[in-house]
Amino acid sequence: MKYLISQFRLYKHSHSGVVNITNEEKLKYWMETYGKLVFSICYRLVHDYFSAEDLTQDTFLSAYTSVNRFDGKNEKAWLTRIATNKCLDYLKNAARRTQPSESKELELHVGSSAWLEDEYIRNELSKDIRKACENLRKPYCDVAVAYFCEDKPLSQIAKEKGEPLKTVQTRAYRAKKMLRENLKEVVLL
Amino acid sequence: MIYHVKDNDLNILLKGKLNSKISKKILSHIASCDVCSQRLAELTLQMATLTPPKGMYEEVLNASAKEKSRKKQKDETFTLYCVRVIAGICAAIVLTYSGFFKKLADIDLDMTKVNNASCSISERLYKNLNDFSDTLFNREEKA
Repeated sequence: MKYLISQFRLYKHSHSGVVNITNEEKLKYWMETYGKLVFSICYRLVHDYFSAEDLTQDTFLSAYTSVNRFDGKNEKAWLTRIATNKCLDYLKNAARRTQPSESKELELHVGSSAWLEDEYIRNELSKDIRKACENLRKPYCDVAVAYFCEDKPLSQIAKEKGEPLKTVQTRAYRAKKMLRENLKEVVLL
Repeated sequence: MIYHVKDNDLNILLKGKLNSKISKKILSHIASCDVCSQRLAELTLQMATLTPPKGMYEEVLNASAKEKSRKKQKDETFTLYCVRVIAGICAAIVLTYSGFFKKLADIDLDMTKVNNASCSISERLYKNLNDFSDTLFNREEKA
């Protein structure tokens, strides 16, 4: 909280022209302030927890690279627009990738939309994610549980396990790929 | 007249109950409209929000650091390229105005030697071919 307040002050100062904050500080501030919002929008638009995480990362990275083009007026709307754009691209690509035989199943899945209900998001989603993480085979299971359920950054996981960061990153990437499939099945059930 | 997406439609979109075609249409409008994106953000916050994994922030920061170094490298490469182009232009101007090219043009090359050499080669070839055909004719006559 203290961090947030300090970042907010820095931000206000920068807008009043007193202090110039770096783009990295702006990025940190955005992630702390709008991380939940962007992630929720992505999740609600693409209906996939792990793709939503990737899209959230892409959104903030795009915001960071195009910060010079931002007029600084309404950053919430600006970040929402970037996130929407990312989701739209994702949905277009997903539609292109989907085979005709699978589209019926997808429509059925979208039609039920149970996993988008507030009740499900509040109570069941985190349980389903943990379950899916624990069902993965070793060593992906450990990385997935630590990253998605225990909120540990990959560098910390690498340090704790005494393994190179690159190895942990690769495992996390593969785990995410497997989880995407597994969670889809869990939700459909 | 600018049209905006109704709150009701945004709500349905967020609940995943719109078909994909209409969703995409609405999303492409939101992607370019500040009013609708602001409204979408507010409606999302009114619903249950999700907390992303904390490790994600570190990943974004790492990616941004990589992006920054890549941009820096790109800028350096471009600067070096500009320096090289400017140096080349300066060298060309100096050489032109110092009369270097004029001096180069004044060098008298004895091209006749080259021509003679080429002539002699062709002549020799022509002679050799004639000799060869003569030998063939002579052999046929003898036979």
